Amino acid sequence: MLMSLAMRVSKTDVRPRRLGTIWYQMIVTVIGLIYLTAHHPSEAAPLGDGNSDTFVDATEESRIQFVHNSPFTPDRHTHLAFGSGIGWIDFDSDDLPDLYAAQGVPFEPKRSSAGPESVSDCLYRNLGNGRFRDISNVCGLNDNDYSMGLAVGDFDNDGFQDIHVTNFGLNRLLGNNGDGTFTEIAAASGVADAGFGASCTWADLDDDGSLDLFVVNYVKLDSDNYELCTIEHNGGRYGITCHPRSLLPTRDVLFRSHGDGRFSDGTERAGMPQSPAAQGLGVVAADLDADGDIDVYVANDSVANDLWMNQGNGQLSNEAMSSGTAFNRAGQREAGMGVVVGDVDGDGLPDLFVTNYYGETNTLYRNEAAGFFLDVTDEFGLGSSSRLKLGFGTSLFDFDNDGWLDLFVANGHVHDRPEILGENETFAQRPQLFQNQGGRRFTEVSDSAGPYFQRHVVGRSCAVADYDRDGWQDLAIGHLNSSLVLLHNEARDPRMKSLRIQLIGVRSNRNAIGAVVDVRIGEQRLTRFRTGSSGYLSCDEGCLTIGVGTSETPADVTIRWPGGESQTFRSLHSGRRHVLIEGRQALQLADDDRFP
Amino acid sequence: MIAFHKKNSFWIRAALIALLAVGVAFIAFRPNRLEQARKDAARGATYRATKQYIAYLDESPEDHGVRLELAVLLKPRDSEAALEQLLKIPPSTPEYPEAIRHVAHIAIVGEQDELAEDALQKLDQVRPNDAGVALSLAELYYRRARYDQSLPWAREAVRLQPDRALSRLLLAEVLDNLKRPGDMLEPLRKAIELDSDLYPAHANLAYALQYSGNPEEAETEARWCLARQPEDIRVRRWLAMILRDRGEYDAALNEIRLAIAGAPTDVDCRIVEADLLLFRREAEEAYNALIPLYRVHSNRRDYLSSLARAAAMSGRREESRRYQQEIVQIMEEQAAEVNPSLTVPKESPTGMRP
Repeated sequence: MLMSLAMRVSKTDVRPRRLGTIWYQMIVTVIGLIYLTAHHPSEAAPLGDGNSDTFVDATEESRIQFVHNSPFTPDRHTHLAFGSGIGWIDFDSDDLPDLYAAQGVPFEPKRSSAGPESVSDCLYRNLGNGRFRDISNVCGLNDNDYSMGLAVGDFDNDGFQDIHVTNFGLNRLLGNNGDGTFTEIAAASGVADAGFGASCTWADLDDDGSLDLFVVNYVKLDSDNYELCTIEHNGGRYGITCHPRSLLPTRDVLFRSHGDGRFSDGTERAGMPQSPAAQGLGVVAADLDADGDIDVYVANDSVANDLWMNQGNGQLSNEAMSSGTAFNRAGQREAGMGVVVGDVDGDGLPDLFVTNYYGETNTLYRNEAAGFFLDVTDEFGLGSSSRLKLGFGTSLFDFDNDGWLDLFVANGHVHDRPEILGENETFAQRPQLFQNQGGRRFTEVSDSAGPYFQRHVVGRSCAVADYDRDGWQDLAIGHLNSSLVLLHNEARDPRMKSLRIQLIGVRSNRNAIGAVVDVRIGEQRLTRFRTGSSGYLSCDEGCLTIGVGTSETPADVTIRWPGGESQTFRSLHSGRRHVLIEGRQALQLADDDRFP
Repeated sequence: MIAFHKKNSFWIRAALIALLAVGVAFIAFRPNRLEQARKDAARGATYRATKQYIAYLDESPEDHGVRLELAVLLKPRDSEAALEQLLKIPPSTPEYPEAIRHVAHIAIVGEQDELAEDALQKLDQVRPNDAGVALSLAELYYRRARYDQSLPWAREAVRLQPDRALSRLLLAEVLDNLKRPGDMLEPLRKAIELDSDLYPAHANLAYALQYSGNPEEAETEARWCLARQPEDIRVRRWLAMILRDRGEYDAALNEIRLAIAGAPTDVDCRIVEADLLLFRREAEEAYNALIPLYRVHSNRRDYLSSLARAAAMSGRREESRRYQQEIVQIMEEQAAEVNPSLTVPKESPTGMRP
């Protein structure tokens, strides 16, 4: 990132030349001289029923009282501006997504080991009645480092989801004991990477049925070796969050699973050192070239993005340049923060959406097949709406269950001092909700999306889950040094249906991370991707809620399991949860598992 | 004999007295140097006037009012000589503000920016709240691309003369160059309020609105401009981009082709056209539209990026890779030219600041 600083765009940026410049030069110069000598001193359809808010703030009702703790120092230590992730995890396997919130911590240069006054990451157990309970103390979290990104995945295939958390410091792997507690096993498992970690993701990159771990690192900073930056403005000198290119980048790390709960650093063997280290923040893993193996895309801050195409032999090759995803359409490197994958135009291929810095657009890369992507940001209506925002977290999810993926973006600046920003370049910014118009473009519908979308907040992370199992996807949003917000989806158009799919891998990894879900209802085709992380530092729930529109026709669902094996499950009804197990028939669930 | 002598002596004396009287009258009534200088100046005899002024000032070097007169006389013909006189006028004199104003004027006309800056800053001290000074300083810094220094003066010029539309236009320009096009809206709207026919304000407003996410209003402004200057290629290109942003792809393509008809080699128009074609997956056509411009525009990243995408989507992957490499090369070459604000000064690079 962030970057950046207020002026992150180089002089070489190409913008339309405006007509006024030349006119102005002529007119004003003449007039100025005269002064001296003359002694003059949204196309969007209405949301929901049109009378109510689409999203309602349910934080208080849920009893989630998480306040992120990341106060700025006078020196504006860089890592304090980035926020922390949130993730949905069904840690107790009760089919109710629980919420993990990573926590920051005030910066002290020589902090001793965590004391009782320190704050920790929090785990909120979903009680099933719209309420949550903080169980952090009983389940053994106690992470007192500054936590950044997280990824949820059953890395040891024991049926219980585990959590990997990157820190500003030593990363942690929280192994789920299956009894409601976790054990920190990063060192024992070989993933205790140190440094300034950002997003991370689970993915089976070598198709051995075990999840590997990809950790994105940002820059070389640590508590004892902390580079600070200042800026002069109007005669004053201010501490400022450093521009990423003024700091040394650190290399991302790929941890290969041995299949027995242990990992080893596979970065070099995968060929990743072929590319220079970069200031990475966001990551997503999916089969981006539809060749049956999982690829990794990394959103880097102010330098070219990386697209690690899996060569199928354990080797990763950075194809960002040739794929068209390194830069934006104008050949500019952007300040990537979050990244999310999804089929936004209904062609069955995974598209990429990257959030970027203020003054840049967020960027939508449409998958053109054969490993090439086209920047279609402006054509999809996402360009000018994002230029005056600094995007971080993002979610592609179908909030209105019409079968098309909509878009949420959490916005907020990294600089909190208005005197060094423009008039409209505020620290707190409005979040944005975009409605997909039939795969052709997006229309912003923030104004009618509910009170939360009218507020100026310092948004960072976000993650999607249908936490109350009503068939409509909800949204949790993390804010820098502020309260987490849980938004309940009340679009609830009774005509719109969804089906919920839980995937269980057998030959492939247990959580089926990396699977492609192809839903066919008559002529309609919906493609969804099961990923091991999402957006910025965060993780959506693993169970997929798929809006199918008004169709009452049962769906045929084809799963392309990680590794390439396909399996079709026929006649799955909407309004139900379907457990699809690799190599088996769909699991029939009791009638009480229906939802509207 | 005696009588003759007495008679002659009388006449000689009378003649001498008369001569003396005439001489005194001549001396008493002839014009002095200063008056002569002024008369010469009024007659347009500048050279003679200058000589008279200089002679006078040699005798009266402290007469700074006259020195200012001389400088004003010299200014249109010999600005260096005028400057020489003006710079001799000390700050303690009442003529100083006027003198320094002329210095600023001469410096601006002569593009002596440092001298102009110095003079204008001094003028601001002796005559604060002078809109002309603020405007001139804003313009001076703007011309020198010192936009951050231009901004406060542009704001001051607007504050001092709120009804002057052009000052608001300048303020908008400065903000744009500070990469703050979102902040241009207010001054441009106000400029149009003050002068509803100010074409550049409408055109720039179309640009700023499109940039900041208001394509509907941007389209109105662009169409206002095109109704008056239909040959304006830039505004037509913006209109095409506005229509693209609104999802009216066919209309956008029509507009950009109208623009291209007026300027077939305009690379900005060609890039917009190519992007629209690529969006429609008409890659071959996009490639063919771009490739003829390569020789001239191969140093432009946006052009190369568009060409690279067109090449890749039309099956020319290796060629595309080459263009991408050229983009990287340009990026590296331009690395030193990045916005100065990016080169953040650091302190205590390896530790905490005291």
